[in-house]
Amino acid sequence: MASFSDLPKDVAALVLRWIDPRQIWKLRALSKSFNDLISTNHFAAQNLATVVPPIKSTIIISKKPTDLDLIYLDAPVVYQTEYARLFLAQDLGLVQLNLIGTIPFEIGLLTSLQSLSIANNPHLRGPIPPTIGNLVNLRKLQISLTNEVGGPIPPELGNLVFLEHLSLDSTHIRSLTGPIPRQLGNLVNLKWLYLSLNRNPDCESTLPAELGSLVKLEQMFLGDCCLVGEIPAEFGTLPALRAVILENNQLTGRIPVEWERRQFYLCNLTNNPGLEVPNPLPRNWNN
Amino acid sequence: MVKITSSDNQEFTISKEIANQSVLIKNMLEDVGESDDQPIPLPNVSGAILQKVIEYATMHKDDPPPAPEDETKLKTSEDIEERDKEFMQLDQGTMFEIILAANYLDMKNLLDLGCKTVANMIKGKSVEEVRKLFNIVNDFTPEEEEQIRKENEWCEDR
Repeated sequence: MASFSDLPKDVAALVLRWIDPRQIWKLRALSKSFNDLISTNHFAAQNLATVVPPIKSTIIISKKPTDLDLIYLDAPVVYQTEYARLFLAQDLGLVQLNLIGTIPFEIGLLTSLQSLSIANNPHLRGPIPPTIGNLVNLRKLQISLTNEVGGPIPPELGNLVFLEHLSLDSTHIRSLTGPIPRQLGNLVNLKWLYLSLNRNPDCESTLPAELGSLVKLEQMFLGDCCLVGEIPAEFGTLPALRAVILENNQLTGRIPVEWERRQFYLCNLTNNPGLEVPNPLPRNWNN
Repeated sequence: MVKITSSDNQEFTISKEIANQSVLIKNMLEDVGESDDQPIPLPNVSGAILQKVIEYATMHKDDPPPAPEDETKLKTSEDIEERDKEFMQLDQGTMFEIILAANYLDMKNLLDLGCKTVANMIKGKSVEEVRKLFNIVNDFTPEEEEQIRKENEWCEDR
């Protein structure tokens, strides 16, 4: 007579998919063939699709995480990947959740994300994981570190070519450090750039000339970034630029000549002792 | 009426509406046309199992077409009709034979029923209990077993 072992793999999968992932993963210990079957992405996807309540559209890790959300970060990688692919969330807001520890590197697996906000978690420490550079569908990235442990901006963020809104800061003790990676010049869809950086003891932060390629950039808020050096001449021709804040830095030299003829609804360059600013300020700058 | 023969050469005559519950037989009938009254051979299914399968199909022949699935509702393996539960009160060997037959004959509802029934037998059981239940041989080396045990720590007591 037939036994479980006689079931073809696809039929065995149809049986096992009904079982809760926490139990199913233990059942890998049954035998080699069970282990092989359960460890595949295909099975993980089937299993999750059967036992996890279907989710309409967005935000899974909200204020009421499900059982599976809570174990998500400890789950085997095939489950993390498939969970992300199937259910997560185009928007992930980790805001005011009192998260502790560091931002996990595995966040880079949530490749379906289009928007990621991490803010107001006073005990959450940096650094910003470079794996965030894998979230290539991101349109909006906001990270606000409130803990004194921060770190630099990962150059990998330059991979996020669909990014329209980038905001990185550290609110209380300013712990996010420069430099500004020149790779951010790849973010050709960027409209909104907001950074607030501490001085990096190892190197000075300058404005990379590559940011002059951000043809869609409308707002550049880089006040309080411990910036030194000159404003690159390339910034003069940023075609969409409408607002510039570079206050409270150590910038030197002249402003790009084209800026004097530009219509800025906001332009604040104050508190840069070494910077030559036209006097009086151009009338078309609205400070 | 449609004639089918089992692997052990038992012949069954069934109505078309029963035959059509098997996508395999349905397709064969469409291929050979109406007029042919040659029996359809089913070499993967024994007469005893075919008898059970026909019993199931007869029980469900007047079922209304399935309602569209409610996408927001969580499905569980506990969701089984009472008459189906009774039907599946079988010895293990027969149960697995029926699952294999349903898979071969392409009978989605019966396959689903069989899979849910087996899943319910597994639910809540430890590895040892499941091994015993289905006579599964542990073919891991002690090192491999230890490795899996370590990897499983995440799901213990949660």
